[in-house]
Amino acid sequence: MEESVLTDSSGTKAARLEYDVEQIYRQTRAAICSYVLCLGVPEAQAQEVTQEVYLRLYQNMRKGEEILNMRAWLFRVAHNLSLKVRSREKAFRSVNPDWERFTKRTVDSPERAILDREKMQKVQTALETLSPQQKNCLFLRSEGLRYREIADVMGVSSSTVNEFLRRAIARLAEAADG
Amino acid sequence: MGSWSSNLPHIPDFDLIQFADSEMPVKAVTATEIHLRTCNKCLARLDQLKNGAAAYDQYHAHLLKPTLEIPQEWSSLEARFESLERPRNKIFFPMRIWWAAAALACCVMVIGWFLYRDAPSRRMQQVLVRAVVRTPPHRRLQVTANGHSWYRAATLQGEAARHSVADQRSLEDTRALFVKANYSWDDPLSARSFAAWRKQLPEKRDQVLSIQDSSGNNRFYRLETEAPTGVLRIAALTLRADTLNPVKGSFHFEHQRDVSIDDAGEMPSLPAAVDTKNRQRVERPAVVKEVGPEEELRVFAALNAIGADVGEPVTVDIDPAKQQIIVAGLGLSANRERQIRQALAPVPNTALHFKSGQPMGVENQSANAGGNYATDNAAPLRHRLETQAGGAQRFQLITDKALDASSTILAQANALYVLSQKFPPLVAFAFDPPEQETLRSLRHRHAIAIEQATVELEDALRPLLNSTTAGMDETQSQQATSWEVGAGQLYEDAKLLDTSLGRILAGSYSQEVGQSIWNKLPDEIQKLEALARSQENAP
Repeated sequence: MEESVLTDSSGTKAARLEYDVEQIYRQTRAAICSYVLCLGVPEAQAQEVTQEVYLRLYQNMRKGEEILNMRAWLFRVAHNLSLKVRSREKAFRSVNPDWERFTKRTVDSPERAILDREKMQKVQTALETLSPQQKNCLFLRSEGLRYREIADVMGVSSSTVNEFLRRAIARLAEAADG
Repeated sequence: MGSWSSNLPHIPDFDLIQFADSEMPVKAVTATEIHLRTCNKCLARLDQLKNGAAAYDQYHAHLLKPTLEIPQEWSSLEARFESLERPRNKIFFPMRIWWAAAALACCVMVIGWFLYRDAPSRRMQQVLVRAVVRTPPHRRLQVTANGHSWYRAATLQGEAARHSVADQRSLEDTRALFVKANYSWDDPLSARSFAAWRKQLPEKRDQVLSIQDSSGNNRFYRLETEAPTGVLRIAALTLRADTLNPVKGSFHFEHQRDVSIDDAGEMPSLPAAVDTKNRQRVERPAVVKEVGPEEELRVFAALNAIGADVGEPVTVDIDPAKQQIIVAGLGLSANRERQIRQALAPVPNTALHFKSGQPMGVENQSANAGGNYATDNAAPLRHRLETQAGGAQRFQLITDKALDASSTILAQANALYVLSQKFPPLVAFAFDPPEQETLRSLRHRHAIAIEQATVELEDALRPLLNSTTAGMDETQSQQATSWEVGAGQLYEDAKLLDTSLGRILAGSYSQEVGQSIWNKLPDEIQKLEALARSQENAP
């Protein structure tokens, strides 16, 4: 994801900015939307919240704001918007993994499939004991964010992210071993 | 916490994870690599942690992410860009378009209401039709009413049965209730009787819920029909999802009278002398198995699965006759009551008593109870804290976060304390291994939650306690004699911390007292964290 800086001041500036944001939206919307859903936003609102993230991006870029780390910025805005939406919801929507789909995916052998499923169930059980912050850290880490970026998204310090991950990964290691 | 010091015998997990994720400061990487070349223990631990992280990455890629794909087509942002540019244009539609839109919306709502109003009823009908055709096996039932409990055959036939235990007052009362409600007493725990009763209702509201027991291995359907009038107001039948055999019936009659009927297993065989034809007719007054700590623990586990054992006005007790586990809730919302009913539906011998009113809440020597203190005198300390926080608004945010974390700690510590009182080692010792594991798992969950909330509390207070908390030793552990003694101490300390925090952050103190509370706060947090960790590590 490369940040695009528009330098011309002609009448086409807005159109080019729209085009750039649309490109970023196409490349990154799936990741942002899955994070939005992971934070408990109902499926019906997920697309709208995701689009809102890119509208904010467009507005900020129009104002000339410099965005140094696009990926962390998008996740941060998605994080904040999702929490706002979720606070209006009466019940927290938890994510139930699609085991059927997982089982149906192509694997080398039936034995492999059973072992994989068992392993994933252990991970799932371990995840149930983690706090939402720990799960968010794991999610963002798997999305390729660095600790500093995760800290920026979640509004905590890097060492807190490290500590959340320590606890979470230690528990996952126990589960994977067990 | 920080980079690993080579003075330590082994590398802590914190640093190993940093190392594995290439997040370790460059200056510490070499020392770590050298240590790993010579220390098999650290190398093995690194592999373990890498395995844990890899397992999550696999889960993330193959299970979580595919689940988090939305089914809708993605729409372009174009329309939304336009709406940003011309936000007001849409307002100037002619009035007739507004009226047409409103009329259309009304039509859609009416059609929607007609389509969906009967959806639960239709689903219930489908389940009942399937359940009625199944022949129930030869079972016996446990009936509980008015605090009495007895066994009987699942089906009774003939008058003789109805007079066989006529001296049993509660049995007679219960039978009379069912007869008055026109609900089959001969076969009360069956889909057929439920369907027959439901069919005769002039007005009713149905609900079908799919539920799981606490182990997650068994699924059930709970069919619930509510009648606004009549003797029987709510009847709920729980069926196993696989066989559609009924396992539990709950009946709420007028004047707050509740009857619960549970499937109690196979009918024991009668002596040979007894005429087998009459076998089903005998309604035996009970030699009822008493409920004990095992059953009580099952209730706690079911409540824990929905988070109802922490910070909610719900109590669990064995009734004096030891026939039932009484779960009482005060001032819960209707929705929460329903969730608790669902969670406990698969647990036999439970009676639910919900009352409206103000919840009692967790014992809390509260926080802001320090009315004797003059807040004016507190101003210098408060101003100092506000300055450290970066302004009054920021201080308020810190206060909110810290008090939230403290309430979580207190609620979890209370839940742990309740477990320690209900299931001390002498009681737990008599448990079978699965129950012991359940208890251990419940305790650990509370301990982990306390530890995590303590970390969140530290995080929240870090800007205010900068110099003092920086040196908090993560590895310090608190030795408690046994987990139940530790749980008591933990609860007391959690109350103390909550009180201190409440006073200091709400400004209810004099300058001198405030400073003293403030000075002790880091130690209190540290002690609590160590206690929680020792609970987490307790066997």
